[in-house]
Amino acid sequence: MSSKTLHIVEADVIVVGSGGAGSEAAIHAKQNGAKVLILDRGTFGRSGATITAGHTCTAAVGDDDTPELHFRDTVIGGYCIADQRLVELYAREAPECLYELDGWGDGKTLRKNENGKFDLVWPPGGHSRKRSVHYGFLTGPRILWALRREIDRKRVPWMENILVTSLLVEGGRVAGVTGLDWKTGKFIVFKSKAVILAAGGFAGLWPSRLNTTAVECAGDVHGMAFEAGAEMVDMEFVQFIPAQVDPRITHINVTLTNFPAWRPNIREHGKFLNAEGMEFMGKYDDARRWNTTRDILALAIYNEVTAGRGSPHGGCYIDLTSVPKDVIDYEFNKFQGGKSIPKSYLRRCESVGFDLSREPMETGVKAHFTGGGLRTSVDMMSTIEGLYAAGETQGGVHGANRLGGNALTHVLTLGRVAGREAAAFASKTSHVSFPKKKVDAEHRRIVRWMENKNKTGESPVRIRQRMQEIMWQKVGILRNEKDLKAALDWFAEAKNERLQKARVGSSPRTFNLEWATAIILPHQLDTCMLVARAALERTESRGNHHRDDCQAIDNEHWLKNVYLWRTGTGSVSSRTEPVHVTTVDPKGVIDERPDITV
Amino acid sequence: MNDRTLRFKVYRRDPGARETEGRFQEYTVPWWEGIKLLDGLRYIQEEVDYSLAVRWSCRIEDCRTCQMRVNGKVVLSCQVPLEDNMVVEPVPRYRLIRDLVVEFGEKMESSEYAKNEFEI
Ligand SMILES: Cc1cc2nc3c(=O)[nH]c(=O)nc-3n(C[C@H](O)[C@H](O)[C@H](O)COP(=O)(O)OP(=O)(O)OC[C@H]3O[C@@H](n4cnc5c(N)ncnc54)[C@H](O)[C@@H]3O)c2cc1C
Ligand code: FES
Repeated sequence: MSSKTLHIVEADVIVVGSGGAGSEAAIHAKQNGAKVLILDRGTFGRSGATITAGHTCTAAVGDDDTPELHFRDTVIGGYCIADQRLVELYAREAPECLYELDGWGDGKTLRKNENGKFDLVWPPGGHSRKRSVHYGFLTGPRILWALRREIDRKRVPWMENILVTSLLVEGGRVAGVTGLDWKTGKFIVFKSKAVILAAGGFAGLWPSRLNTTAVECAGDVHGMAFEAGAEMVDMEFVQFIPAQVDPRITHINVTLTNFPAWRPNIREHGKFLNAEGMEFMGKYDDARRWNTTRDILALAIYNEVTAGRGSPHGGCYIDLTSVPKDVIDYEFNKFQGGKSIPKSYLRRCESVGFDLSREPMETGVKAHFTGGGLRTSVDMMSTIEGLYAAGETQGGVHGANRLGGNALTHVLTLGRVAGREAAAFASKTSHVSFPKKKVDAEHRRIVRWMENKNKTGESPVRIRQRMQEIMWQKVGILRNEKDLKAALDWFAEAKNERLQKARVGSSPRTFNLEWATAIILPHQLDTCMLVARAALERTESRGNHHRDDCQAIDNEHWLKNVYLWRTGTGSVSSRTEPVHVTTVDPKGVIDERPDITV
Repeated sequence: MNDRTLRFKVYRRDPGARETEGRFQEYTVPWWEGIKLLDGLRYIQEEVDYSLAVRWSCRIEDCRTCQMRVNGKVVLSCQVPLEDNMVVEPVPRYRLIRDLVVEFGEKMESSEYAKNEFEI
């Protein structure tokens, strides 16, 4: 491609992703003097997981709470292998971050009580204090609304429908990204001094019917960063969450367990039942039951289903039929805003003819949140100079299991830090030399699919479908060495052989989903490989990572994290390092299971 | 297995290829319990015609990027049950990218929308 036809856009800081992390990062980068540009493959501010985050965002703002307690609960909830430096930072900055966000919505971003303070509710299991800040059932959308107001106010520029396809790195430093504009089919080069990857998680690697996330969270950026040389951490920790599987209810994904279901009335009258009508949580966490953590609940449901005690659509039942009707109406309707929010949980159920107070809800498990991602230091810089990671794209923050409500907090708080730090970095450095060769190679890689019209060949769409099924069958909630190795063989073959012979048959250059699939698939396959590889390395079961060939938690050998990176020859290398500890000694707390006292 | 199927019409036009007139293409997809319009369109894109342009994100009624016009009325395609003889078109008001996909751009966060979703 001659440089004349090359479309180049320049900025100090490029932010990839316009969810909670990307928006915070961009606002703060701009505030700190950087020329920033946000790119999103979807619709600006309406894509990714943030908008679907239904309920809660945690922060130590209550009178009986402190950042130290929030930090401690998070470390314990993550089975003591979260990077304590990152957890400490986010627990400490969370209150200030939420006050700022509230201000961006003129003090109306989040719910307040009569005293003008944040209205606090109990978060899902594993937190020892009431620390969920919320906006009823629409916390995520509301947060994005406030971020959008500030983005508009600060005139932060953005471009939507830009699929970022590769990271440009020259001499160990980031030089920008390349992208495909879906609106026009044009290839664009974005030159920058710093790049913040805030492109969400990779739960989209599992089949659509078995994940809860937005379609853009496809897992390509992780493979992209790996290819560019970034080190990855905690890739084995994928949170599977109880999620509804009743085909009628398509307007809710994460189920009741994400809501204030542990309130006394519900705890007392509500039940988890298998298809034989037996209550089963006693077997898995007798002390906490409703208030258990997600990893335990998900595995419990999965075990019941695989033992043949599952419901018709592959789940168990959450039965609230004995809970007094007014309690249900309060929890799932009035609390969520009543008339002011037209779509409370209860109203959404009613609209499809499902009555929570009369029918148990079928609940299965789906891939939801991914704890692994780019390794960063406390300034959110990855192992590549100038490349930052924020939000779910970043790894190491939650350890082996994420507590409910902590994702939004992490995403917003550390996103802000990434924006600040990237701006500071950009102000001290100049652009690196333009990696022309790499740009040309990437351009060829992309247009090849549209030029090379083989008459035969499999569509990349088929390979992707197969990849997602393999992720469910062999790299799902319960793993073992044999399956993981078979999966790794399959990913390698798919990338090196099947994809090479594949063909994009459809010719439109705009919004061509088949072409986009072909472009991102090699990176997705790399991310799949990273998950399987990390899962193979960890020869124990901990939090979200369960192995049926090594079922016990092994605190003697595995208070460690698995790091993966690409070697010069293109293969993957791994290393384990002891977990980063600041003030909580894992040995002292590893057996604690925080519970609430109601 | 059931052999019930659903037939419906989908608007196709590629302004990028200088098509000035749209046309309707008829598709048949298998029926399943709870099938929504978006499911049918995704089935077409993945199993029948890879070239169909269709946009969605969350699948749970939050993002509103799956808006389309069905029999003249704007709906969220991830929520509307798929029915025989539906006529599916892109939403009006926005610039067409291709088929059912439009460019939302600045207009997506119109004050009108924010108001109806959030203000008390
Ligand atoms: C259904 C659901 C409910 C949830 N509920 C809660 C909750 O109640 N509380 C909580 O704390 N957490 C919750 N979570 C988790 C939380 O929402 C996410 O972890 C968080 O929103 C991630 O934010 P993010 O900014 O990192 O990424 P996202 O919000 O996912 O944003 C990523 C952005 O990057 C863009 N992007 C991706 N790839 C590319 C590319 N190649 N090129 C360009 N752009 C790209 C996407 O289009 C998207 O806009 C929930 C998640 C789901 C799925
Ligand atoms: S896909 Fe988000 S509202 Fe339909």
